[in-house]
Amino acid sequence: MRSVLYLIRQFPGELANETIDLMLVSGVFEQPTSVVFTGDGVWQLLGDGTRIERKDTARALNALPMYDVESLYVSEESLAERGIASADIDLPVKEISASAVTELLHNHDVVIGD
Amino acid sequence: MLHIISNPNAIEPCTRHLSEKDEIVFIGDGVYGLKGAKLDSRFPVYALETDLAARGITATSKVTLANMTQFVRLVVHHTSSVTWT
Repeated sequence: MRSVLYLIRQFPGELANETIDLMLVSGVFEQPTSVVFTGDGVWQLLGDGTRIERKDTARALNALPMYDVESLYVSEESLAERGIASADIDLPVKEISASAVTELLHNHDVVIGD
Repeated sequence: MLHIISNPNAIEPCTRHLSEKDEIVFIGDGVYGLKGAKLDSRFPVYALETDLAARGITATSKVTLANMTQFVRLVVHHTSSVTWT
């Protein structure tokens, strides 16, 4: 089966939540699925949207490991640029270098952006 | 890998992740970014001719103009593509 990489670059919100639904579907169908958070996409790993009565992106992401989407990565460069520390993130994401992100893009069969 | 840029703000994040034999194609509003974009000459750059014309943008000589058929050929030629929106 073809491997899929989700390239997440957008701020949390409604669009982000729809992309998460898409990732869950990939997981359900047992497609080899990886997710990488870069740029402003790293903001999806923080925060609690429920405080303003919005469906929470960070919490929705917590469902991914349950759907067998376990290859979660985040660009350490994007985190550093935004002053985000590893301790701020609850999700089990692996911090990787920019060149490792490039490698991910190139070694998956399909790349889906958000 | 083929990088498809449809948003001028995506040029910078895209250029961070270029690798050997990659090519770039500008489509839609992405062509606005061709003005003043710093592009590495190692990577071939294409832009959709009609999208440039529709926006009154003229590309520099470093950019190869492409029609829809040539765009499809690029997509088929590369084993995978990523769309930067």
